[in-house]
Amino acid sequence: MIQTQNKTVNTRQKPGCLIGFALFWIAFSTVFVIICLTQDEITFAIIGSIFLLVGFLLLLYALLVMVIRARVGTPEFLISKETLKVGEPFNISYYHSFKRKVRVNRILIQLYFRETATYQQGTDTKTVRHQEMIEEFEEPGGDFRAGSMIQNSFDVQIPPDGMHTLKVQRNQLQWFVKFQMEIPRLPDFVNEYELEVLPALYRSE
Amino acid sequence: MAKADIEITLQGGTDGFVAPEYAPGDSVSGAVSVFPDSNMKCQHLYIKLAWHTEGRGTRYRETIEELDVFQGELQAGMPRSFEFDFRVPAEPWSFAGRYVSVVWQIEAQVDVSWAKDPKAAAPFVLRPSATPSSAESW
Repeated sequence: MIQTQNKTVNTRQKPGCLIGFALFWIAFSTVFVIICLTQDEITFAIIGSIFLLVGFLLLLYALLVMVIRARVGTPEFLISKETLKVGEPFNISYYHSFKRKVRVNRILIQLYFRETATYQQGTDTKTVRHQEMIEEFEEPGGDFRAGSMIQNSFDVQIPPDGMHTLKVQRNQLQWFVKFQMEIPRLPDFVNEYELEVLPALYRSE
Repeated sequence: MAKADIEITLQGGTDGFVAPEYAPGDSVSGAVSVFPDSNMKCQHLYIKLAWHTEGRGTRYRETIEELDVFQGELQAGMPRSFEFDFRVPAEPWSFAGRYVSVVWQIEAQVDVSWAKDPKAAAPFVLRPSATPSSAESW
């Protein structure tokens, strides 16, 4: 079994980037509010304060995501094959050791197919996505102590009538495995792993 | 204005629900028939094997192979027919999605000067068959 550990091509949550963006937002809003107050523009100062509040909320969210990663850690994710053919079965397994005591509502592992289309609308560039859930596995949650471990293994299959991976300019067809851990009162811990599905049919020996 | 009706007939493949179906590596053959309504000087008559994306995204297009089968005069009322034979590649497969579709087709275009080029296209489906055939190694 080939391990594709840490084959995280795309992680949905990037708290570092969000913190940077939130700080920039806060700084810009603060300057705006100060200028409005010095110019006795109370209405604009109130509007600027709303933007300032949004910046703090973004910062709070980003910090919460970092807290989750610190508390939960990063699960080890194993996919039995790096590249697959259409119709090919494969195995997903994970194991994780919790660094601290944490309550988990549930754990979801999903295999899905995503279409991404990008187009111009005037001067704006817009991107639309459509995801089709192929298979989903749900694990019950619970209270986990520091050092406790969870692991499981699932057999999944790329559908025999499915489509291979395609990436061309402004149009993509991709396969992903998503690992999601729901934690009460905190944002979900989510990691996405992209699969490469070749334009070939799987034929069992 | 140059005007001509173009008809593309495909041979081979299997009859599909929407269009003829071919597997990767199959031969897509047929004929392009041109029915000129008026005399026209044809700079080139192109027959192309091409695919493109359709849907919400900006169209992406690739021409796999192109034949220039004729240069000369097309006489009104005198149809001409030209054969072609392409081998389809391994990918991409035809696909119909919500936002992205992949469409294969044979295209014919009459290149005329100082006028809109008459064109036609015949779509087909490219997808491997579930049961292997002797011509198939995908």
